[in-house]
Amino acid sequence: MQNKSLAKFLIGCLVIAFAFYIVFFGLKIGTASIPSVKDAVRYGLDLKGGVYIVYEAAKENPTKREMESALQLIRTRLDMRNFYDATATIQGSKRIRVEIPGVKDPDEAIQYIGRTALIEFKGPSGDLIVSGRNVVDAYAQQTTSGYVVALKFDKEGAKKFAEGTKKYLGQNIGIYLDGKLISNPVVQAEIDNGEAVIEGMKDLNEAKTLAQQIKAGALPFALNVIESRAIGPSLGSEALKTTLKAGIVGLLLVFLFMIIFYRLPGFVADIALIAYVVILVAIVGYAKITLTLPGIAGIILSAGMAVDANILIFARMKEELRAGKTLKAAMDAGFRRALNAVVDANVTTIIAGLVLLFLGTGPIKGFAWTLTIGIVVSFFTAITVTRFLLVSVINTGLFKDTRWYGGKKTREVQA
Amino acid sequence: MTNIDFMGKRKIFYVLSILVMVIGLVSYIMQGFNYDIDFTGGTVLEIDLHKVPSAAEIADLEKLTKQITGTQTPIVRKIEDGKKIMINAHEVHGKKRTELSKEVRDKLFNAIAKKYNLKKEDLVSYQNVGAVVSSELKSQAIWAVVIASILMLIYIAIRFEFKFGTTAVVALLHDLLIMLTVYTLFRIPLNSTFIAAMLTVLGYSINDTIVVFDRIRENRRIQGKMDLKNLVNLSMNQTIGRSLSTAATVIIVLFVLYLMGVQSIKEFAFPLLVGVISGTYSSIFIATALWFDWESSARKKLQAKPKRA
Repeated sequence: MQNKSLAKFLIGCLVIAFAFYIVFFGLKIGTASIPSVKDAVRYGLDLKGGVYIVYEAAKENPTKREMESALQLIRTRLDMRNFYDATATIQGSKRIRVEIPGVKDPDEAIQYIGRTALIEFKGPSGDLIVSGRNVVDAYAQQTTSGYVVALKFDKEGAKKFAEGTKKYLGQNIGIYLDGKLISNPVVQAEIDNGEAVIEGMKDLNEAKTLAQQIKAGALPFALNVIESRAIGPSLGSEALKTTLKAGIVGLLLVFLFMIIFYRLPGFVADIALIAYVVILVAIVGYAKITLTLPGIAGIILSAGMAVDANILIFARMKEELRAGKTLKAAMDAGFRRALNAVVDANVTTIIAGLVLLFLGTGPIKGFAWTLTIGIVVSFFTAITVTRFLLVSVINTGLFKDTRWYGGKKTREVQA
Repeated sequence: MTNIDFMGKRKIFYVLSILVMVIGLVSYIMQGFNYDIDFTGGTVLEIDLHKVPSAAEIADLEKLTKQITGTQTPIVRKIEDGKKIMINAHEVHGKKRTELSKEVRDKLFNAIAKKYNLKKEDLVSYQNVGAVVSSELKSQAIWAVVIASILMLIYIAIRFEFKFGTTAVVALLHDLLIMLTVYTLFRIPLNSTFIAAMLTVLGYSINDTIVVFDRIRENRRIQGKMDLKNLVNLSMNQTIGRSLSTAATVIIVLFVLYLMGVQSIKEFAFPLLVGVISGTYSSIFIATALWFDWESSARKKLQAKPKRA
């Protein structure tokens, strides 16, 4: 029984140590591998540097579909510029938040994301025949007359284009890009299959670029920039380093505090706290929750709060021991009677965390995530990991003196 | 276990809390809040000067910012190791404050760069925030506090009783007012991290209150015949040790974060530190005391009724 308990305790510690190693250093067995959290985690812009831009639709109550097509459009434009690690997300009902790591100047980014390549076909008197809104496809082609951009209209566009070419047969139809005339061909015949070409491209590259711009050009509404921020990459890595350092120092002090005030249970709580950090960091890292600076603060803060549950339990246990109970009875009573307060305290904090999660934006959301997850995990480790380790330690029978549990006088207690 | 007559001294703490809040109110009327860009709209530039500027140089920089941007009261302050500065400025168009245009921003940075012989990379970061975002942030913050308070009140009312829930939430609002007092008194910039800090305190400071209330609830069951004052005093003496311990672990962590953290973490850790300290104080001296006063007056009424009948 006693040796078995010691083995249980040591195995528990080993599991935690092993998990700690995997999470912080990664693991590789043959071809299979688990990346370390450091490599897996998605860092927020404040840690990595870059720009973020918040756009707002210049239209009252845009529909969800319109917002999604605007989002799609922004993604296409980001891809066109090879910003594959950029993210674009819809925020609320009419905003889109774009984050581009590694870029320094938001104005430059705004220019190419925000540019609408508006294509218009106009009659000789300047009347609009059809616009890029009706274009379903655009691609570059090489013809005998040089490089061109071929366009395919949708059904409505094909109809409009057919009417236009019929009306202006033998006359010019101007093709305008963002209001600038780029081609002014004469209509040779009525075109009713919904196809058109833009001539006059210098080379294949120019044709390709224009085709891409047209394809990406059908914004359902104008987008206004309402917020933009740029964070230098050196600032980000510096922030990460100092915050992590502060976190480690803070945790070590909490470790010390627990051992000084709660002795053996305090030491066990410290091991459980390591388990807590491992679980929390693993969730944040592998679930791809974007880690921001406030997010790290949330982790560190909830680590400080994680020992609270243990303190409640141990203080209760100390009381029961003083009342003359046996060690095991005191521990059981400690866990049982502290549970009410622990549950109530945690639920109220989770309420605040959830409100923050639903109402907050950007960095505040990052903080709310880690705080909320942190509290749930800390509750779990306090009542399972701490308990398992403490029961095992007590059952080894090696620590019978009350002083091991923060009692003032030396007294043997029965296991 | 300690043996302090908490309830006998409760009026001292009422006076103390009211005094701090009055100071806060006076400070608010006199100088208001130091709203950061998050709340006013505008631009923040962070520049690495590679040297610690003197007070006169800071004043010069403010003058320069005022000249170039037209900001009436630009804020220039040293951050981190003191070699970096943060400039808070905006443009005014009619009644609206807006962020700096690229031209104005470049003009400002180039003027400073020339003075301090800086390179382009020394403009570490800049942020533009529109006034729309700002006003939304404010209403969002107020809503968050209101919703969170109501939800917590409901939860505690269900788990305990209405009187516990109400006094716990009153103690919470007390903590937020203390935090606001510190903000206006020390002119600490109010920004979006402040909201996160406020809501964290909201979630955290109620913890200690619950521990005390939980003990009162339990003692009431076990020692039903005990006089209310003795019962509350007993419960508080039983729990004060762990209240201080739980506060200590969080305070340790926050204190280290405040000492070592970067600017944005410092701005976050400071109000939390104030809030956690205030939260511990208020759960011991305000929440329980208020509940005690409420409960004893309710009991007196209950005792008075049968006499009349």
